Amino acid sequence: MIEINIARDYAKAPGPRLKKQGKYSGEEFRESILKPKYELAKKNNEAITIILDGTYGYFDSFLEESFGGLARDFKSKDILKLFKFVSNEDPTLISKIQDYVSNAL
Amino acid sequence: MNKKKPQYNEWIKRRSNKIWIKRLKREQIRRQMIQQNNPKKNRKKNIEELAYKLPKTLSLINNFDEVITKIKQIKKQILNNTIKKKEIFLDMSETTSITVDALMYLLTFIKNTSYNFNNLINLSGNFPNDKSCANKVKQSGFLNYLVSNAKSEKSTENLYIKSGISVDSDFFAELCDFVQSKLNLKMIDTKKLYATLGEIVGNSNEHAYENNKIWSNWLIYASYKNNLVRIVILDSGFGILETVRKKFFIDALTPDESILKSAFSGKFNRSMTKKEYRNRGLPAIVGYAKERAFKSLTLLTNNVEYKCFFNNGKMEESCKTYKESMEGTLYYIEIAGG
Repeated sequence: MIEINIARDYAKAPGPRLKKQGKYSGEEFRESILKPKYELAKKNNEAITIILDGTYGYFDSFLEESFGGLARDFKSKDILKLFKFVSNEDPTLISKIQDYVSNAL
Repeated sequence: MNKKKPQYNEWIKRRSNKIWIKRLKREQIRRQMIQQNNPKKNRKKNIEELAYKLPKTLSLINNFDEVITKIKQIKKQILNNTIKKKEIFLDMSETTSITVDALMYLLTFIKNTSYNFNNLINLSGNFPNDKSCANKVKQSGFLNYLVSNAKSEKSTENLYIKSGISVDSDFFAELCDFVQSKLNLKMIDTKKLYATLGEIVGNSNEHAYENNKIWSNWLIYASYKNNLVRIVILDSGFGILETVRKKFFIDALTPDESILKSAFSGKFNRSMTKKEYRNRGLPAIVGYAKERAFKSLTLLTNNVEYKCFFNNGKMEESCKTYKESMEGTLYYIEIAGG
């Protein structure tokens, strides 16, 4: 099972949407961690667990660029089928991500 | 005279002194003549000296029109004949009440003037005579951005004014830590604050201006008093209303308040990229306020003030229009302790 703990594997203080806007961006997260793991999961038909807890919070633009951007990269709204989200601190994040992916294309 | 003799060197010295004395006398006469012809200007450097008394209540939230009028007056003088050098003195001596939002706005004005006019404009000032006001200036971090004989004073009750161009998530984390420690809250309680900071500064960074020569995109200040943390954020761009009017060709008859409310609802695609999935920042900020993430949210942009606050558990909203218009957008967020 593939796991991405954003606070541990990327940043405790996730940043803005784009790399040019600042550090720990959603664009960088998608390119360096999310997309490679997704491709691996898709190849092996595995699930990916995303742990959203443990950070200071998320900018909406970070989440949109990460997951919405992934949907735009693969031109598919079905990317979330491989994902399982853990967000006990802020459960609303999961529905936000679903919303971003469905409006991404 | 024989040049090898010691008397020759002495003669050379006496002769040089005479030449030097003659030059000095000529220079003195020249200066006297200039003084007689140009009595009002700085004779040596031909610099125009101007002094402006700042308002007694130096606060945008409490005295918006007067403060903006004064700053516009100073700007007008600066732009009037930019060939001459000017020394402008900002007199704060009679100021008896200050809020840091006005200091931040003043700082942006000072730095942008220096940035855009290089050596033509020299801005200076003084502290208020009122001790508590003077302390507020020193403890705010205002002096950190200026050349001053006085130094900033540290206080445990506030963070210094912080400025930046890019989105600084490390600083937002530090700000959340400050809020948590002062109000005895946990990280989970400041998640919406963190998201709001990111949206405001992200908007400032991406949408507010196009190729505009500017010192800093945003400034943030936080202070604690009476179980309340107040965060002030200045987005030093054009302001929400001006940006929306320009980009979407809104006619002048449309009331400012309705434009602002439409912007909060996400009606205008303010995004420079014109992409549907963008333009979520402003609605998100107001949304968090309405979800009681904060005790109150006040927004001052151009000539409109919007407030969203909770009174006896009930949410209230208000809008107010001013005579004057500021550049940029000011956000005030109040967070109460548990």
